[in-house]
Amino acid sequence: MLVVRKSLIMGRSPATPVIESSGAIDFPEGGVTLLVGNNGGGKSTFLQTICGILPALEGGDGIDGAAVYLPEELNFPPTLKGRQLMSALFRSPDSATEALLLLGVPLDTAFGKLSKGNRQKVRIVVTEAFGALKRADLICHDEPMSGLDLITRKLLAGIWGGTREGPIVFSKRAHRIIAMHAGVPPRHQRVLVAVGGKLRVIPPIAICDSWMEATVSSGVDPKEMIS
Amino acid sequence: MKNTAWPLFWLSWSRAVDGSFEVLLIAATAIVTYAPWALSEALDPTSWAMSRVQAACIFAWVAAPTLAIGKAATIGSVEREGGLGSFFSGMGVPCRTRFLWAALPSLIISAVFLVGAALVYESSFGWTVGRTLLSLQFIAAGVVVQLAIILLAMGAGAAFSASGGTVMTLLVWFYGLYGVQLLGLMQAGANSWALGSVWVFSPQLWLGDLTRRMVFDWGGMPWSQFAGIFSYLVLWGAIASLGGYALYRKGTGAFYR
Repeated sequence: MLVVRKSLIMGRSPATPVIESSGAIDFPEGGVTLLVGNNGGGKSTFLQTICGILPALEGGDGIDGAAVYLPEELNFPPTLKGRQLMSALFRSPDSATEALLLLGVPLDTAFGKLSKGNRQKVRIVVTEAFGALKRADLICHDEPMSGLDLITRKLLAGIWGGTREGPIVFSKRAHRIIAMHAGVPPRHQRVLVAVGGKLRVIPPIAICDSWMEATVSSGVDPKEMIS
Repeated sequence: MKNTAWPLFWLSWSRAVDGSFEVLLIAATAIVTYAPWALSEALDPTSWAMSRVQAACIFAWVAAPTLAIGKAATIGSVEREGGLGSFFSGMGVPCRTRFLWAALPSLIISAVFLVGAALVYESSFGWTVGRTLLSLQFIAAGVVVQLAIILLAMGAGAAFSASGGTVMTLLVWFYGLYGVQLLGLMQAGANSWALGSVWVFSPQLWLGDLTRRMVFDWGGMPWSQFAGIFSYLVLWGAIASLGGYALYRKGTGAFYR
């Protein structure tokens, strides 16, 4: 389980902190946290901080656990085909390759020639596979649903939410943070809302087809987001 | 899972060896093999050997480094813009490890041509201890200088862009190989203090290029002389590599690891 024991102040430079969280947050095994917020609200900064990519401006020594992060943009060499890519990345690429097949990614097409959605599926599988192999406590997906068709969104939401069996390469023990704006959310334990420079925790919500709804559900004044 | 840095090596390898390396290798083999045929038949076999060695050395010191610099700058740029830097940083791969492993494929490209040129030299003139010594000196000096310039290119690519990093590093490379020699001649003629100062602080990369010794078959350089040149190249290489690393850290936003 990954635990954030202290309040965090996060950003790329002390002069311009982007977001802060108050109090401890834990990410229990196998669960899902939804992360929503407006553009530039600090979602990626938060994810990069708890994954150790960015140093916290304050409170970083309170992060305990191993995490894997899928950035919004992750481009593999355009000439590598799905099968070759998995072989380059993993000593035993079979289960990751199977996951690509399950998600409908053509294995003999070069990464650069895949559609946007299929490239995104490759990124998700690679991240999940690394997360499982590293025995990560936390797997962070930064807007993973972007570019995916409805069927795949539902499939992933089901796997991550634990309502459907996933490929073996998807870790069952890791907690996942799914940052998203709109789409089909997986079943989740809570929502983190990044707005107005603060990270707020709110309980799970029944409908979250856009970040706006989640923000409104959290009781935050929408004007705050607009400003 | 493989060593955590291995995937980064293979991803960089597939960007570095994407067809242009193979084309350059075939071109080098063809030109080195058939270039002497373009010479007059009246020329003696020694001239044939010299022309082969010169062609191989031009590939090792001009064509291959140009390709390797371009590849390294592209890889550096992709680390920043393509998210690979963040991804592997999140996997716990430290910045310096990413920097070195991602640069390794470009160095291999350079090293293949350096070793190839040394083999052409020995096969053209025949094997002797002196020639093997020169071959080893040629490879050692070449690897030190080209590793540093590749690391600099990768940092520049990460900090600026693939094209910007390539152009900037190529300017340093060709200035260090040829421009600085021209400056030396100008300075000698003009006896200018300012030109002399610029020359002293310029990268004297031409010192590592032992092409002339190979083409004219002068044999190995005396150790004392080579040690002095090699020490200078190592020092310059260390400065360039650190500069490349600083640029890489800045470019990939590696504040932490």
